[in-house]
Amino acid sequence: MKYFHWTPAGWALLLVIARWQKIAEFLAGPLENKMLALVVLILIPVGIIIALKVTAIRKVESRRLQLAITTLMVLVGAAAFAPILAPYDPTHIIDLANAQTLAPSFAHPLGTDEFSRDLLSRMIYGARISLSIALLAITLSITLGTTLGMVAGLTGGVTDSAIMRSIDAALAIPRIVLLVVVLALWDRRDMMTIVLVLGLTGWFETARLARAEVLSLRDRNFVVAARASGVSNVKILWRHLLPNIAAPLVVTATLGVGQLILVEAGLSYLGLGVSVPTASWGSIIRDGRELLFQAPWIVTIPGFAIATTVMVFSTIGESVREALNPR
Amino acid sequence: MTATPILQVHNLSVAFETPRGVVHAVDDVSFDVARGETLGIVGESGCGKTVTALSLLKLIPQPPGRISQESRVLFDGVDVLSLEGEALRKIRGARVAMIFQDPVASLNPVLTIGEQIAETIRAHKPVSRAEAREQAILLLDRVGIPDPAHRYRSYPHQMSGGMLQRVMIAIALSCTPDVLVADEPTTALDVTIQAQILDLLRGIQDEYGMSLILITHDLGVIAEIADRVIVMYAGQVVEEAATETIFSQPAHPYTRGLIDSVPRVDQPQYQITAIPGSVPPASNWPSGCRFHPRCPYAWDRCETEPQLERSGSSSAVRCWLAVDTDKATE
Amino acid sequence: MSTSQALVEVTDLKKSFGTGGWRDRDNRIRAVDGVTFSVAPGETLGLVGESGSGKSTIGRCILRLTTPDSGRVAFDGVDILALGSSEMRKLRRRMQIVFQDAVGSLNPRMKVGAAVKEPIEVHRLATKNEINSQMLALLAEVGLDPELSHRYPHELSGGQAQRAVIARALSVQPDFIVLDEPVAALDVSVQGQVLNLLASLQRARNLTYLLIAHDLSVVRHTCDRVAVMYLGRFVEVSNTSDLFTSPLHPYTAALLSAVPVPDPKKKRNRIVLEGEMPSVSDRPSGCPFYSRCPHPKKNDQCSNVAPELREHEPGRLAACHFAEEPLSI
Repeated sequence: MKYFHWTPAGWALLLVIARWQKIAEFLAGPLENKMLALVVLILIPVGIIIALKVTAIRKVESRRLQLAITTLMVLVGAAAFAPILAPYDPTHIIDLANAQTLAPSFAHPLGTDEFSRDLLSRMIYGARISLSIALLAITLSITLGTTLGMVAGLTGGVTDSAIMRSIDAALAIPRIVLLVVVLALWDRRDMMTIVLVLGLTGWFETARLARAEVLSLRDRNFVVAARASGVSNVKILWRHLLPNIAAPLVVTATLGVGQLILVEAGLSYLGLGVSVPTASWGSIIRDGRELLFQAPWIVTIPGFAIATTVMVFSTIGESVREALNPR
Repeated sequence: MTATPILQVHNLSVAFETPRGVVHAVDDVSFDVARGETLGIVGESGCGKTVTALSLLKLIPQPPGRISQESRVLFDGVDVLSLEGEALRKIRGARVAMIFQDPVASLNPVLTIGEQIAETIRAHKPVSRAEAREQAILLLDRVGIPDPAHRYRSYPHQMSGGMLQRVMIAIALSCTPDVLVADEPTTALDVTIQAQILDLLRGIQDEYGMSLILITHDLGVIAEIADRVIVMYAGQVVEEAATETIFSQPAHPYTRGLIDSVPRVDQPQYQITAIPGSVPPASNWPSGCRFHPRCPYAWDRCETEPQLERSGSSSAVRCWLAVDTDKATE
Repeated sequence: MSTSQALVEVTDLKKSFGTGGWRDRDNRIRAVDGVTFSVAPGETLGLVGESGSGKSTIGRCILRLTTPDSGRVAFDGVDILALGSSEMRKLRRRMQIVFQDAVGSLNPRMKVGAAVKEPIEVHRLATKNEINSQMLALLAEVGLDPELSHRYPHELSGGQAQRAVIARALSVQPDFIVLDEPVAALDVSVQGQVLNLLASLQRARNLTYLLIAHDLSVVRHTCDRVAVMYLGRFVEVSNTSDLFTSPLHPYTAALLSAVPVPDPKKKRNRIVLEGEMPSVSDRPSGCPFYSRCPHPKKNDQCSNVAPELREHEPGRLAACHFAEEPLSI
């Protein structure tokens, strides 16, 4: 109960009462939304509990970490319950003639953009897209990279050479160029397209890391002893190698999420992100770039959100790294 | 043998601050080393023998290490532990030299071995580069390195472990020290090379009239080279005696156990009597006599800590059996 | 099968390691260079030699943890180098290995109990209900407190870890165990315990050991027969008591005389060898030991013709032109 506080709990309760109608709407609304909320609500606490457990064991000084985790919870909560929290539909054009680029006010806490859409709602829904893309893409790339890297490291020989040379070749192309070329092939890009493309182009470094770790463990006596006992290669990978290389992989993953949020924002800014009018933080910046001086908040607010999120993930990553490498 | 000992250690206690509490690595250790004598210090891992050796030259990093106020290391009458800076540097290497188990780690991989010897010479003696080089080559020859002028230009990775240990000995000899402290000098070497190194140590000791402090876990090495032996267990000296006496009449049950538990190359197969249990960790010494949980002779008196009782000039035992003669005869 | 048949039979085993790239085939290091021996059931064969003599490579080749270049390794009459991987995995139940570095032989993220249970599960030697009690019985057999099954390897002392490794090796009821420097890393007072344990396990379970060691005292204490290696070859093979009292090969004699004996009164004829073992890559053409040999009669024949390993007395083989006139120790 160390991480339970009355103040945020009270705020949450107030929120539930105030937005009761929206909650009812949400519950009656499309299944997709509810599933997403459910997944996020389960996944994130599990991740946080793991992070806390790990850091608690090693007694890492964790004020920074606590702050990061709290911020992450707020962000994720907002993303998961976007339909409840957002005051407007993020794509709804309120009044093109009169409500263009309104400064923050009571009705529109973060103002509106040049198409008179409510910025707060766009930010909340944008968090959903940005975070989901980053989390799903990192899961994909870590899984792929770990599997291929471990197989390459353990089997060696031709398989190893084939996998590693392909990776070298792929890494020779700058990632952003690769992304721009590949994403330009699509006419309309939904979230899953972006996730796939980011995930499939992001596993190279992870594979190299996993391979290097496996190589350093492969000839250690406990692996040789397992092999001498007749343990199969699959079991050696799963029971003996994976738990021993998990630590650096977890660190890469957390740090990778921050990076992916940046990449996704960059792509959206270039117009290669999720197709309009769906909001992501990057596309909000893109929409606001022409009005940098007339309506600076349109660019600054998503920029601030991106910076915060990246910092949150790198703080968590650093803490986990510190916790796992006390020596 | 009335001359004052070259090295006197009085009540040496060293503790280390660790995140898990204070570790008393060495506890009230006292001994003397006479000029020209070979003193063996024998003990198992964690008994404090290496910490003792490092303390002799004040090489314990403080903090986390802490050498107690009462500790004295008198080298030729001067308390090494009270020295600082230049005065300490003049003793280190020049008058008391050390060699370690792992010569590879003790040498700088990017300098030639000759440069490293010459560097030590020039650090302590006002000689020119050319002279230092000449002396270094002579030393390499003395420690039995073939073709020394050529080997002067070799890098550590180009030489075998045995050769590197010879280089370490050459560095140690470069300022003709009064005391050479050798910490497990042959443990990492093969037996045939170990025999060569022990021969070399004996030879240079005679030639230079040095005192040698040899720290090892190997009783065979002790029997081969030491005049007198100190047995350490759990941070304390448990027995001190002349080498012959230690092997013929070990007084402490731990010494006896140690001798009985090693198989012998010169004797046919027999059932060895192993000491039960394992060496206690330094963070958690047993109370009372520190050996009593593993001792076959332990009785209720062993719950209290015995003192190191001296008998004669060179023998001492830390055991209630030595005090309580009635019990000992049982 | 008759009882006199060897359990392990190694014929002309060769293994070399590359130094750099596929191009310099001539520069390969011949770690094991034509070695032939057999181990009878219930016997302990010792393999002694200095570091770099190739003794550990032999152990690994026998278990097929590394593939030899040529030669034959037969286990209970089956040529294991010809086996497919699934048949080999089944055969691994009968042969085990114990390494010097006990803590490193246990998966740092696996509790001791799980580590001991794993081979039983892999070979399906017990039902789910029995596995746990089998594991506890094994721990008891090697003298470990059952409490320790919940510990991680780094929480054990060296001696406890080595006992756990032995329990793990025993869990599959093997016939043959390769002991690769099993006590070299242990404290002196603990070495004796582990040696006694290995001896009593051998009697109780009729195990066959191949003991690889550099410590001749351990070998004398433990082995029935001993093979002495120098530069990837056997220079002498003999029963233990004869080898240690009257060695035939000058290298064996020098090795024995170099071991310090914990008895200051014992005066022995010390043979101190000159120089060091040449690196395996530049093997001399004649007798590999020629450059260091202390034998007073060594001559041109030695430097030109490599002596064969021949039987000089019943059960005693030596590779020396002067094995009939051995050095005394």
